[in-house]
Amino acid sequence: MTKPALAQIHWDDVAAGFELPVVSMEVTYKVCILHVGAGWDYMPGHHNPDYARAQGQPTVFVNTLFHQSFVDRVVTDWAGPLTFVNRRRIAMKGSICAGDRIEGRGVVKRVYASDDGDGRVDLDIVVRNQTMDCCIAECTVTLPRRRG
Amino acid sequence: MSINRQETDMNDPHANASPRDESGLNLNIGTYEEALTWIGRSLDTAFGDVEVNAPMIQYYCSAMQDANPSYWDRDFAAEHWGGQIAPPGMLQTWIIPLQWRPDGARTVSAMAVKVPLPGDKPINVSTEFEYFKPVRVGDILNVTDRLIDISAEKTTKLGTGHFITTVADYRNQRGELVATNTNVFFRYRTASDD
Repeated sequence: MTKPALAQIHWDDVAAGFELPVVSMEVTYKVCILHVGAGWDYMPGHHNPDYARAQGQPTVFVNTLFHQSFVDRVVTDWAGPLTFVNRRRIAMKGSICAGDRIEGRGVVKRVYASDDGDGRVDLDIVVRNQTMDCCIAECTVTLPRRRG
Repeated sequence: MSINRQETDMNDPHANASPRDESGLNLNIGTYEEALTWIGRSLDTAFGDVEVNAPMIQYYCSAMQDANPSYWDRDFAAEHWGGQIAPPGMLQTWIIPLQWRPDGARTVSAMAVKVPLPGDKPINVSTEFEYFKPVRVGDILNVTDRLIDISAEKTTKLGTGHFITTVADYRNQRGELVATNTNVFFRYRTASDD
């Protein structure tokens, strides 16, 4: 099996103000359906365009888990696979719909140590589609500290 | 456009009940006044239908196009996490019931759908998670959901309804608190429902 080479960022090397690389994704109708099948959330607004329109949405839209998971990707695609997500708050201001292209942008807000000496980083993340900012998020993660 | 509006009986005290809920969530249709009496209540603890498992983790990461080797590489996960772990973003998946079971599918156990309110359209607004432990392959998770607040009726661009705030505690089979989730959910009726 191929091993994705996601390098690990260490807490010691992170500074407030750093802007993360942008993470983008084409949210096709197929992607929406894949996520319903994978995440088990069959609320029809996520897979049935007629129901989504009756709900007041333009077409099927992704659920909360998609927003959460994409926010996590914005952080871990940069920070690496040894990252632990301690806290994440998201506000879904706009729907992400089938046909959207989304981009996630993060910025480091604060670098500090927890009471237990863990290396913590606070980040702000915004996920936008071609029209608007859809998801506004705050995230706190633990990164490994360099030894010595 | 109305969806499946049922015949009404003039002697029926529920004659003006909303159209049958088609969300699949078995929304409990009722009044705001009834909902207020539910504040502070918890639902019975609900358990996941399946163990946390690697195939579902990989299918989910495939859907999200997430290449994190913690979720794909068993050796990497064993070395760095003590075993295979699931992405935190899919935590709720583990307690969503299967859509069909031989002994009858269970309904979604969440305060936002069970509390009586007029709204028959659901949409999530905001959610906050605190994670305390990784979710591991082999875990069976459970959730206990508590109702914190119901807003007064509000109208947004989607429709008119109520914002529901809940707090859910997720535990594993060892009774350890894995995560806590504070969620705000909007249950509404669109203009075409009336």
